[in-house]
Amino acid sequence: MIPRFGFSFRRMWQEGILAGQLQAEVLELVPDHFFAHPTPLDSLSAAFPLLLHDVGLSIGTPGLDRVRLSRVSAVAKRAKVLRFTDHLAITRLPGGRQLGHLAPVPASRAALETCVENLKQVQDQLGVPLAIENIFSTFFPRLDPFFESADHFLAEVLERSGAGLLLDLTNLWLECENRGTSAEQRLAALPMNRVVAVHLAGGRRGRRGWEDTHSTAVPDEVLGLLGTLVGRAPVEDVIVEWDAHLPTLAEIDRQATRAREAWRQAERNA
Amino acid sequence: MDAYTQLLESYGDRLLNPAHGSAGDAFDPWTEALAALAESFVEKRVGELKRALPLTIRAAPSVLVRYRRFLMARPSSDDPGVYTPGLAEGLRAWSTLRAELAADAREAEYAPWILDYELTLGASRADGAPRHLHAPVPLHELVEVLVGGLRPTEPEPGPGWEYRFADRVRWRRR
Repeated sequence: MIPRFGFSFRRMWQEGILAGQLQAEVLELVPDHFFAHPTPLDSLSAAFPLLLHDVGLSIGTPGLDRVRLSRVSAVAKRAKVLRFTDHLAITRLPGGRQLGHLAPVPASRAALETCVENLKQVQDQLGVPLAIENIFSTFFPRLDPFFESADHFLAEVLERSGAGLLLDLTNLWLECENRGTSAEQRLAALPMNRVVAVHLAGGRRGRRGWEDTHSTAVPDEVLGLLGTLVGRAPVEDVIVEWDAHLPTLAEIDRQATRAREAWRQAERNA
Repeated sequence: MDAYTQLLESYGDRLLNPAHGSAGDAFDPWTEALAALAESFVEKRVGELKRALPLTIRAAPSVLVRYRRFLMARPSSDDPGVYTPGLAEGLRAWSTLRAELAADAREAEYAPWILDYELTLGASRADGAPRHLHAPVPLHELVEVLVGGLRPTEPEPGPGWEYRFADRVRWRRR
């Protein structure tokens, strides 16, 4: 089965997207873009299969933000999304303070229970397939030695919650590049049967190593990793993300096509 | 407060303050990594503000340094709601940034008004609520120059202009 290939929606491309003539087969939306202005969801959902990708539910924090979850749910329903995803991360503290960005969940039994419970509640509210994404991090706050690695913690969350994995191949590759470890070996240890979607993006080399800037084209090495998933993972969607220094619509569409070609080439080589 | 909740609040204290340092808690082994992550969060917020206020920053590049100083003194921790994170931070820092720009003789006199213009327009576009702004300078002309990539000269004083912000901007001379 060949996945759908697409990209993350940005409002500046909306007119061109609705005008048609794209190679992309699926679009991924961020719910915040539609809280105040949901009207475009109707024409977008009529034109494309849609996915919803959040960054704000803070799966590792006890006590879901029910107000936010309701707003996300409203967007999901109006857009008729096929899947909802968020990150295995913390973006909000229990007392309400917002971090504003993704931080790794400190791995402990209590954290595992919190993540599982939150994912259950999200699934119950949204009623669509759910997947969580691996974030980019330079460290693993391991509070319980039972969890051997961030991937082990992730695997436990997936197993206990039944959620799928939105595998950010760029994040994984950047971490391996920074640590001097093998991305292929790391992939081999992940629960492949859970990988239902893939994110691809470009990073940047900073003072402290590679960073997940999502501001450049997808590196060839990451497309190579995508090819290793052929025949091993039930991937339904592959999404190219680009968050800063946005390219033209034609360019982001070309990036999705490039990913599709990499997948097809891997199929031929298999 | 249970143990995990307390732990996360300590975690958050470090993530909202790059200078936090060791605290004799469970996160001491990752003090340096947490400080680096907290610093990256600051950089991201500065980047978000830059995206939200491109014209203000062209008029007064010092805004980014001023905002960083503001952020370090008052870590951001609010939900941005319908606003982009950068716009929400601009709104939060508005009075401080405006006062500093207005008080600094090295800044263009119109700089605080460009800040007002950009934040007011951004807020109205995001939340759909109409807003008004009265300015002593022709902001629409200054904005046109800034959009063109140039920095305007100080305009002549005049009777002032009224601006109405909704999905777009309308204006009239007072």
